[in-house]
Amino acid sequence: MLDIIIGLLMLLSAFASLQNKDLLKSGVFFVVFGFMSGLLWIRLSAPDIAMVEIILGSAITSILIFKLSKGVRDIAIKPKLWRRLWAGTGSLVLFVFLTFYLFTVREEERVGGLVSEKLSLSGVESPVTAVLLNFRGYDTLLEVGVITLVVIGILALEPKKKSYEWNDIVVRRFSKIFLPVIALFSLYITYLGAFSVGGAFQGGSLLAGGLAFLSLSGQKLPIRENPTLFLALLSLAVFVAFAFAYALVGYGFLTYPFELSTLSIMLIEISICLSTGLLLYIAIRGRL
Amino acid sequence: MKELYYLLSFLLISMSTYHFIIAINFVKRLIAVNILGSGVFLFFVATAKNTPSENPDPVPHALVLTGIVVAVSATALAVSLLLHLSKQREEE
Repeated sequence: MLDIIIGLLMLLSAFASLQNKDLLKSGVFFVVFGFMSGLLWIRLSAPDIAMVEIILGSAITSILIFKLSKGVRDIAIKPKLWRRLWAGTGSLVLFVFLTFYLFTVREEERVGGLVSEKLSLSGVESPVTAVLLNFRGYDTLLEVGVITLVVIGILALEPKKKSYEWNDIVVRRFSKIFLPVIALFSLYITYLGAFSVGGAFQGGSLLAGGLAFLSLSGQKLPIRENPTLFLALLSLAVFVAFAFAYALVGYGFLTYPFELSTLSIMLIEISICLSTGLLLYIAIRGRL
Repeated sequence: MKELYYLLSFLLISMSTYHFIIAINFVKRLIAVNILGSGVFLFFVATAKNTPSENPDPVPHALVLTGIVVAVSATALAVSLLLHLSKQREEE
C-alpha cells in the first residue's frame, strides 16, 4: 500500500515537473521526484541506492538545473502539432512494447546467488561493495574515469568567472561549521561500506553535498588550486596503480591477492570518496 | 504486486520520452532525460528484487549505483555546455 502511494506521488511529481511552464517550479518538482524515488529504493530494499539518489539525484542535480535555468532565457514557443503527434505515437508504441515484457517476467534466480557464494573470497562483507570493487572492478574504474573526464571537459569549457552565490550570513557560518562534521561522517560512511550499507560513492556524494553548500554560499576550500586538482585526480591514479601493480606481480588486472584484498579495497575506497567529493564540487562550481 | 514497479518504470520512461521530444527548452529536456534515467534504474532495481531468495540481487544494485553517479556527471557536463552555448548566442 505504502509503495503504491509513493509510486503515485513519484508519477505525479514527474508529471508536474515535465508539464509545468515555470522552470523554477519544474525544478522544485524534480526535487520532490528525486526524494520520492529515494523512498521507493528503500522500499525495494536498496538502501545503498537510496542514499546516492537522495544526495546526488535529488539535491545536486537540482542545484545544477537551477544554475542552468538562471543562465538560460525562457523560450515560450509552443511545439507544433505534428511534433506532438509523432512524439505521442512514438512514446505510446514504446509503452506498449515495454508492457509486453510483463507477460514474460517471472521470478528466477540470477547472478546474485553466485555473489553470495563467493562473498567470503572478496575481502569485504557487504555484497554491493564486493560487486563494485572486486567482482566488477572494471565498471568502477571506468566510472571514475568518466567523472574525471567530465571535470576535464567542464574546466576546458568555462572561463574563470564568478558563479552564482547565495550571500547569506547564516548559510556562510553554518557551512563552515558543518563541513568538518560532514567530511568526517562521509569517511565513516566509506569505512562502513565494507560491512553494511555505505561505500565510496555514498561517502563521496555526501562530501560533495557539503562542499556544494560551501560553494553556494560564495566561499571556497582553503586549499590552493593545484592540490585540489591533485586530490581530485587521486582516485583514478590509485585505482590504476593497484590494478597494474597486481597485474605485474602476476595476479591479473584488478584481481587482489586474498590477504591484501581488504586493505586494497579500503585504500581505493577512501581515495574514491575524496576524489568523487572534490570532482563533483568542481563540476558544480564550474571552475577550480 | 511486483508488476506494478515495472509498470511505473515503463510509464516514467514513455512519459519522459514524449516530453524529451516535444520540449523546446533545454532545462525541460535535461529534466526529461533525468526522469528517463530514473525510470530505467527503477526497472533494474525491480529486476533485482524479482528473485525467489530473501535478499535482492546485488549486481543490478551496483550497476544502478554506477549509473546514478554517471548520470549526475553527465548532467553537470550538459549544464556547462548549455550555459556556454546560451552565452555565445547572447553575444551574437
